[in-house]
Amino acid sequence: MLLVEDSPTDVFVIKEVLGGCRINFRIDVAKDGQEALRYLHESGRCPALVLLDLNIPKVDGFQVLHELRAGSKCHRTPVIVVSSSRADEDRSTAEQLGANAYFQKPADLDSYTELGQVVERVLGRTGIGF
Amino acid sequence: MEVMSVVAHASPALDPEARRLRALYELVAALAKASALEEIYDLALSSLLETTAADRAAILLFDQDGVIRFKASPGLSPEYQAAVTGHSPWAFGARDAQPVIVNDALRNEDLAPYLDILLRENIRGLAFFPLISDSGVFGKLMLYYAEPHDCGGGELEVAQAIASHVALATEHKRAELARAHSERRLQGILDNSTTLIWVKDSRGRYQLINRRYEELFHITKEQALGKTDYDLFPPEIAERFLESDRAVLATGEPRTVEERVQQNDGLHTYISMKFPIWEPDGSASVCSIATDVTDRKQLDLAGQRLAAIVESSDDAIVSKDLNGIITSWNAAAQRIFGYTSEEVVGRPVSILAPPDRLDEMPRILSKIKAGQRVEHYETRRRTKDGRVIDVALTVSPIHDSEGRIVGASKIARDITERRIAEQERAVLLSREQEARRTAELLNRVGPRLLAQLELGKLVQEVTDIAIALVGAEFGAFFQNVIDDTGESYLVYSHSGARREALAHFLAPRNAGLFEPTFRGERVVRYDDLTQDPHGGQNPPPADVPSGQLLVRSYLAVPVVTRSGEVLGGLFFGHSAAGKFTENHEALATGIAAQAAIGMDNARLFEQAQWVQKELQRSNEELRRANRDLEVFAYSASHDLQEPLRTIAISAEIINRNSGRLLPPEDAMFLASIRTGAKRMSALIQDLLAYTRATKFEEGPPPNIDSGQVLAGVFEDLRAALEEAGATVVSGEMPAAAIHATRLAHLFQNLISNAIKYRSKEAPRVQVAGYDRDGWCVFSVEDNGIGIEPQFAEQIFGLFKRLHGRDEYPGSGIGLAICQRIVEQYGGRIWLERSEPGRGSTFCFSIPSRRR
Repeated sequence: MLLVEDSPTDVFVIKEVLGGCRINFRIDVAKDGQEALRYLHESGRCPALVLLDLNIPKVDGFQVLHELRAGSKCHRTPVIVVSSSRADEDRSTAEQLGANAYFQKPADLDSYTELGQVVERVLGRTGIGF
Repeated sequence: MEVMSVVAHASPALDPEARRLRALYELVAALAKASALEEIYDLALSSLLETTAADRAAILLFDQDGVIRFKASPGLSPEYQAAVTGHSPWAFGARDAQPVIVNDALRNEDLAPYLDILLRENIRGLAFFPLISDSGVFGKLMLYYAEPHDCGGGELEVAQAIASHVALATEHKRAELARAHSERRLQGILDNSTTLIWVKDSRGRYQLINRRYEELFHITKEQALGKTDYDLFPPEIAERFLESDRAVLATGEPRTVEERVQQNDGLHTYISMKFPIWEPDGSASVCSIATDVTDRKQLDLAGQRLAAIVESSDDAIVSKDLNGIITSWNAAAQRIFGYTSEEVVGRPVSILAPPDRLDEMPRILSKIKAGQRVEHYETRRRTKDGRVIDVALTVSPIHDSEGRIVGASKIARDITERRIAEQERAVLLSREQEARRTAELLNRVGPRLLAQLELGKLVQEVTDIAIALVGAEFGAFFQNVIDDTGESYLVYSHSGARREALAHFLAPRNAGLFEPTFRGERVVRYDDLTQDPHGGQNPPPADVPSGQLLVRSYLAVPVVTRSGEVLGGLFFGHSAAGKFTENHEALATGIAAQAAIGMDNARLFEQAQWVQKELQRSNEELRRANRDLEVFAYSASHDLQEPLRTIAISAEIINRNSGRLLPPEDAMFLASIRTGAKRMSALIQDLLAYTRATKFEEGPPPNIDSGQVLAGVFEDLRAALEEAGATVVSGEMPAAAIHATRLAHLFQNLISNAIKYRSKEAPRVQVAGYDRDGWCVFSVEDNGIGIEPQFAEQIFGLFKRLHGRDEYPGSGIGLAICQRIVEQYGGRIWLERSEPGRGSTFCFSIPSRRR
């Protein structure tokens, strides 16, 4: 799984949350869009899932999503947009660009655990066997 | 030949004396019976031959020329008769004529010239016996002897006796004949006369009527004679006739009367000349000679009527002969021309003509002589006192009874007054037309000007129209503009001349000319600026530089608004003098008034447009500012929230991982970090809410049902209300003009506060609203903790709180937001009443429903 996130705190928390999932992932982290694209481009195998923050340096989340979906490589990889933005436009743009889900980053730890449910739901849909 | 036989029977036995006497008796007897003169002559001659020794005898009578001629001359040759005709010893009418006996012609010296013819006629002896009447000798009786003869023995006496008898008989006969002839002649005159002639006796019986009488009254002489008028005419007419007859008889004097008689073809009038005739027996008869004057009477009447018409006519009727001499002059002519009839008849008609019209009269006369009429010829004539008047003439030729033109009749009507009236009317009419045209033009001008709202175009149109209407060569509207240097006149619009030329005209030296106009004082008009000392313009120099305006006619009207503001002036000029009249002044003033209104309107419009543009611009800016604010607020809040989130989560992780390991102070600080982050987050959200709540709403607020909005708010707060165990009450709510979301926000905030700041009792909230003076006033009353009076104002401040954060949540922004909202609609929010421990009532006002 690729986690595209620049905030260390969020990385820590997300890793902790995903650790609690039934699915075991190796989580690779890209701290900006450029890194993310390079990773996706160069990797031999596509990640099973991409968690994508929107507010990342160099190349922002939407562009990464767009390039991912438009490109030939890994364009079918499920993507969950994880963003602190509450704006409806961001949500719909993410949907339009082909994100599978949108998770709003909460300000407290408890609410963060819902991310795990979202991940399971998305992966379940895509048929990766649980 | 009976006479001869009588004489032949005379007895030859008687002695010559007795025989002569016998012959005389027989002659006398025969003469008495003789019916013709010739008979008398024959009887006389045969008796003479019998009783005398004459061989031949003859009778000669003087004719009316005094020439004695043979009347009976048996046996005498025509030559002899011709030779001796006219010879007589006595003159006609001589008295004391004695017979002349010529015994022998050969021995008579008096007859010597006739000797030759006598001898040839075989006459030697002659005896001349005069035939004598009362008037003297009228003829002679001749005896001719073939041999010289001595008339003796009773021959002379018997011849004389016979001569006297013959004379008597002849005279008698001749008188009879003459009388008969005279009577016949008289009858002929009577019968051929067209006059009515009659004679009546003293008893009125007709004794004589002429043929005309017969014809006219269809009665013959035989029928009329002996009858009176009563037999022939109706009594009253007869009486009238006889009245004049009697008058004649009574006075014995002739008299002339007018009598009217009904005839077949109408009533005829006769002038009867009646006179008495004295009969031999002493009685008198009346004779009347009556002439039918009906025609003449009618002519007379016609003539009288004509004369009356001529005299009573209002028109002068003047007749003149072919030389132009006035022959008649009626009363109207005197009235019109002033001359009396005496002063003017006999003088030439040219005295009536003014000097410039003298040639008219011969022309008119020549037309008349050609038999033409001159009809309604308008010209001028001069009166006695020298005035010249306008007349209309009709002249026709006058013919005599034979159709020759002998003069002219002129009817002259004084049309001076009519002329003047016509001229006046024409002037009035043209003035009226001009005024109407002016009004029409102005009417058309007005709307056009008023329709033109763009000031620059309006002024140009005004100038163009005005110049066209006034007939100026060039013109301009000058606006009164005072710049920093003093006064200067700006050319605003112009027509007909180049701008530079006009600007030159506006040079300061002409300032005095323009002053009254720019002061809005009055209309200025000059017929010729170059002549007028006040004109201010120098006379044009000998060489006028090209491009310089030459202004002679000048007209200037100020353009003044209704409020008295002088907008400027309309100036008109023309290079010819005297081009602008009073009428043009009126026209220009009218246009100036229209222009003032138009310009006022245009200015207002311009201002309105400017205001609108400003409004739009400021609206635009507002909108932009709003948008910017929103964007800023949003991104700011988002950007601000992000680090806060990190702080919060990080602090939470530390707390979770090492919280129990921290000393109590540090634990407190960590807790402060967490609460601080939370508070900040809430603050940021409130700020965002504040900006959203107070952003500019587009469009006018709709009319809404505040009750419905309130119900919606109750629904939204249901969970909170239930949890707090609150009851809410509300009554009839008015209609307000406000955006529904804003009103909802207001209700929500106040009701939430009411619940939040509750007392120990279960919260009870009462919401009411009413309409007053165009405002809806709402109140939210609670039974909460109340507010101390000194804080009544404070609570509306931004972030102002009266309680610690631990006591009551909230950033203190709620009421500030409410205040901003109501202020946006022009309303107010205030703490109506509050008692600490008892509760508070908040009120706010917003505009009520717009009609």
